[in-house]
Amino acid sequence: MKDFTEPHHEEDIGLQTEEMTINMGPQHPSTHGVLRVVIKSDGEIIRGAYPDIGYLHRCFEKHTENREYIQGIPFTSRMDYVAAMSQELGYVLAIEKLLNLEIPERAQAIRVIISELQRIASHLLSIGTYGLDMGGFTAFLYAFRDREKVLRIFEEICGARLLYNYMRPGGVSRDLTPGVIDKIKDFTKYLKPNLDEMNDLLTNNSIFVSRTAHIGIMDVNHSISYGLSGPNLRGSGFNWDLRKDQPYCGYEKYDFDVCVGEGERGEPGDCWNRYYVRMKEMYQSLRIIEQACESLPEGEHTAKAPKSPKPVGEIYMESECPRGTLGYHIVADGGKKPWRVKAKSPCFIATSTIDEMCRGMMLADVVAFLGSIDIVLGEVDR
Amino acid sequence: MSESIGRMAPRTYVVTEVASVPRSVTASPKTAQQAADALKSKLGADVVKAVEAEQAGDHFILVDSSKIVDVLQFLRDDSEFYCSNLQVVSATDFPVKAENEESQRKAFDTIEVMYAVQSYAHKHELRIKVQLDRSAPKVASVTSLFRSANWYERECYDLLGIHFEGHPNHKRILLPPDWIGHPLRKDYEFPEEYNGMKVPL
Repeated sequence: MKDFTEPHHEEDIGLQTEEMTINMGPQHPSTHGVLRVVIKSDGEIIRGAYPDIGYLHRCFEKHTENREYIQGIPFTSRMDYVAAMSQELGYVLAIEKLLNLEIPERAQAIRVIISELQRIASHLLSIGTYGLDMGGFTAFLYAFRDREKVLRIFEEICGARLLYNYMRPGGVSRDLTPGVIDKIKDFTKYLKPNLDEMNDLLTNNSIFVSRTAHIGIMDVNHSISYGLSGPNLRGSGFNWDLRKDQPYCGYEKYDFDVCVGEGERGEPGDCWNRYYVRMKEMYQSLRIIEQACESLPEGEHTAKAPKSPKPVGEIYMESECPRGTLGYHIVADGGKKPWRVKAKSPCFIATSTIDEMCRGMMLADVVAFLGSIDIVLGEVDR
Repeated sequence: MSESIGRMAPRTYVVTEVASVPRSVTASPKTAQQAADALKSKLGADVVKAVEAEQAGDHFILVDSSKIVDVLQFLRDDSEFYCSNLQVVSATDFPVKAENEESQRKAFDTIEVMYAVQSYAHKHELRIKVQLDRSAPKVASVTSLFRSANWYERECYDLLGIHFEGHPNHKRILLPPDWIGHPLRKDYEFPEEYNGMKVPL
């Protein structure tokens, strides 16, 4: 006779389970935007997860074809709206390379400071909301408190809090305001102990670790076959960072480490390691900001660039954004408007991993996986 | 829990073979010209049609569109190249030039598909291009080589109407499934309404 007090499988007591279709999203708090995932589940086990995207498709590529090069910049900041500075930077870098422009030292240093501040702001949002998904509410509040300070700095520099329109081919649209460097230095001193606190709250929190360690493991070869980049690739233990390997904007001048998932908890490639790469990267960003603020050269904030550039040529160029390498393919035919602009978004390709990764997972772990790849749907759909 | 419990649906997509990625190789970056020469010697002289050097920007290797899978497989697996990362698949429409246009573009009445590949081992990036017939553009899918090609190619189909032969899930991805036309074609006409809703322009 069977002992029914013991944990049992359904097959033992003859229960039939039926495959069920669950709609996760498009309005679901843990999909971080309007992502719909059609999940086929068998009890608690996922048998298939089909991401459905396009809800935020705003025709970025069609819009830029019908506008001048400079007018495309506001559209780029609306792609990944929580890391807008980095998105603009990638776009103007590609145009500059087509125009063969020399960028002044000061403009490059300003760009480095700005994009590392943006990386911190973006990672804080990512980590905060990930903690929220995993049931830790406090870290979310702390992260947003600190992110607010970055947004205040950006507001002082360019007048906007979220969508900046600050980068220009040749440099930045205006010089740093007087005194803002001191505020940035104060911020770096302020943030460090707060990051340590966040480590205590999340990184080594046993509930958080048990929800994320050994979950959603993506090995290096799969990550590369999927074309993942940024913290998602480095979380698998693969050392690749465009800032180090193909430096732009003078990143080679600064001393910083590339953070990879080393498996302090869990194993490289799981949700915890992807999360912890972001955590470690913020410390490195602080290092870069400190060095750049110390050595900020005097001079022009922008090169002499044409107001309405008419480049000729074709280029595909990538830069390291908080969520991975963002590439722009620009076909320039000598007219005022680009013939074709295509944005390669790291989030788009991270979304495509959902189907294969989620099969065989428990239903609750889907939330852990979706949070750990850190997608922003504005960039997925463009 | 054992697999036998659920009546698991068979996987509908092609499981891509994962190429192992060597990192210990000493980096020796290759130029587009070197890659073109290697392709010619390995796959035949008629595979590479031209190496386009733009006035500014990248160098593009124009290859025979029927050989694209062989070309990318060679670049992925050969120890001289190890282009293990497909960065993007991007397509551009080049219709016949209008008479009074200032544009300096060269290729006419064709659709170009650009495959950007990158090597982590050698730290080089290569740009492969194919030119397709604009009236019925089709090219073999490279999903068997790179998993990332799956969604990139779906996006190219959705926005430019290129047919990728052998693609496991050849559907629209960004636009709704009942959308008519491919908006990034240069001769695309904006619809006035979609399912009875007025389309704002």
